[in-house]
Amino acid sequence: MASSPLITFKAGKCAFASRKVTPDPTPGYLYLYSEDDLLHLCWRPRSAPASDPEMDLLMIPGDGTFHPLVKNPGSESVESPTTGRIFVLKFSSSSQKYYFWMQSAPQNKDGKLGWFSARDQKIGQVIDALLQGEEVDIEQEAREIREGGQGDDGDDGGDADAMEVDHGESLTRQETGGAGQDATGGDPREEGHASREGGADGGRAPTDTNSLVQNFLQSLNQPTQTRQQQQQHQQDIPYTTLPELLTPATTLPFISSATPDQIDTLCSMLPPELFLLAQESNSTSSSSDPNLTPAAGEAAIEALSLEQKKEIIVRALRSPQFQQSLGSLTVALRDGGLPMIGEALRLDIEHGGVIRGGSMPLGGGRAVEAFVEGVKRTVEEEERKAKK
Amino acid sequence: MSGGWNTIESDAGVFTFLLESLGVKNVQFEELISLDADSLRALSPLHGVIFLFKYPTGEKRSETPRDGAFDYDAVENGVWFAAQTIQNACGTQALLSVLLNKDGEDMAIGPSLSDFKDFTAAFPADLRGEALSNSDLIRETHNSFARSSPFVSDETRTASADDDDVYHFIAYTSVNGTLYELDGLQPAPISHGACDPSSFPEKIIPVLRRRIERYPVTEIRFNLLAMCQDLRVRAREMGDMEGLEREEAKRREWRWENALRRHNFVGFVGELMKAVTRAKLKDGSYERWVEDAKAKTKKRVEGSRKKGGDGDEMDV
Repeated sequence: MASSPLITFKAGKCAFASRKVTPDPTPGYLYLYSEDDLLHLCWRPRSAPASDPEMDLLMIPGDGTFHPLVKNPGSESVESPTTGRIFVLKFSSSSQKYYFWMQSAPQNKDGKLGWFSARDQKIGQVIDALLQGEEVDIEQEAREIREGGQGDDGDDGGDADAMEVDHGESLTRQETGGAGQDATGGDPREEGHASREGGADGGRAPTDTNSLVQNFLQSLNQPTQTRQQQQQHQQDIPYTTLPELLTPATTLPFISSATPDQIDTLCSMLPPELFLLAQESNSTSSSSDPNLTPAAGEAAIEALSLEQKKEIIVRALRSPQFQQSLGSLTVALRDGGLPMIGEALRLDIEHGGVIRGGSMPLGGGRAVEAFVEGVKRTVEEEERKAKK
Repeated sequence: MSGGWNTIESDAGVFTFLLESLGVKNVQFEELISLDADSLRALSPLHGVIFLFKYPTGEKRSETPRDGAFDYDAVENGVWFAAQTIQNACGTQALLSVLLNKDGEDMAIGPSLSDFKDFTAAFPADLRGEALSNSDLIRETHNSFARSSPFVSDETRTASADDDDVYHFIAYTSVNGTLYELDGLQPAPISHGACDPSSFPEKIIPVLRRRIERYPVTEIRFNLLAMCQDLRVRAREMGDMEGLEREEAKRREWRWENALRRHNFVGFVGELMKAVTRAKLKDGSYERWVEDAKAKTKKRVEGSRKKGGDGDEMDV
């Protein structure tokens, strides 16, 4: 093997028979290296020389995937249904599977042996991204794995060893590092993946992605380990917030000079009840049926004059509920919701809202910046297309 | 394991429609501005009062309550009382504490809550609390009225960390001829003496006064909501057209607010951002708009850093 590995971590092989995964205790390394533009995934015992891996798979970009084996897909906690952290390597070209177990010290403070810390997940994500043929800034990712303040459990013990490689051979010694950086945590990412699968179809109605975003926003209300920790991106900027951009001083003059088409589009995005209420006469008693059909809403919108519609929009823009939603949407963007929100709104966000070279969503002020710039880019593209 | 409960505002419109969504008919809430028996009596038939206040975390549970007496037999004698298990559910819990004790008196609690009441009839207080926090219907309805997560203006603060005290709801109602204080954090209903429903407006006033006096004079963060019969019913009965119109207008306000509360604004904000961006690119004011906003943010962040940040949230 000529070149040095892209990423290495302490892992053991597993035997797999009749649906049972049995770890092989031999201490080993799982690593990826690139030669002649081809990616290799290898495993060797730690005692063996680097030039002689027991396993050396040639990986076609996009063919392999590398994910944790989880017992509860989509849950906040990434945990294997075993007493160890298992990764599974699968191929789209065959049904062959390989299982590996993480041999670095587990980081779960409650002693759960199957629980993947953010550091653990990150290692898996980097490998998966490389297998997809994505450009990964390994140095950056490795730094993020090493740095970052607290681990998920605040305990520093045992996390210095995951990527440590023995000197003996020609491999460059990688620095050992601190606990994994907890960027935006498990749950938004899980949501993000789900929404990408579900909402990837461009023709899907906005309501599906709307409810996904709503669920995401509500999940932020619940204190979870990952939610309470800070995004410790070294280069964050304050930038600005949606409430400070979309102030009444900005939005109200816009509304008063908006075209009928723009007004109608905005009306279609407000709850239909607002327009039905405007229509209701004094003598009828008000029902409180919250489930109004879109058809009823559309009919109500059509029945109103342009001025009436503008009034309703202005009233909504001034409402505390709207102000609060600007705030919570900003929080959602800052907390890793940018990819999902960008997709829901069909905006052209740079890199789809993930950190360049990786798969982690942007966070903090940078995410808000990417959002605003994405809106600008989308608008400019639309204008260009309209002129043709 | 129960799902999460979000915080909801203590607002008459929210509570009224929350109950209606659960299937309750003929009930509404009114905010009490002044504490006098006449105002309360004007709302007759009055089912109970919900008191919202800032709960000093220093106050401990003790053998004797600071006012009134624990009635450990109350639950056996048919008083519906539940121990509070989830902080964010305490508003809804207080509502149900009054509601489920007044079932049948000029109101219908509806099939879902009747089922819940029957289901928990034989339970002790702590198990009733569990049943409440595990009820998908109640929790989902509650959450559908949740306000958007509070905007965290300081990067280092999370919503839950900025206040040492929490807000707490307790209910007062007359059951079995006794005035009870139903507080899910206490071991049992607290009795404040004999009281039948018609004397409730008088008897509750001194009890509430004493409660309010426990807190420093500067502490004005409390809220009183009366649970009463739908006021439009009596207006119609008495032929009070003006009153009826007033109530109908109020209901329209509430429907308006709740429609906005429950609305997912993501699509609207996206569209608004695009439209404003487009307009500003056209007239050349785009750069200045973004720079102005950034300057505002910078000023605010620096200002709050100097002050050390301060939380100022009234609503739970």
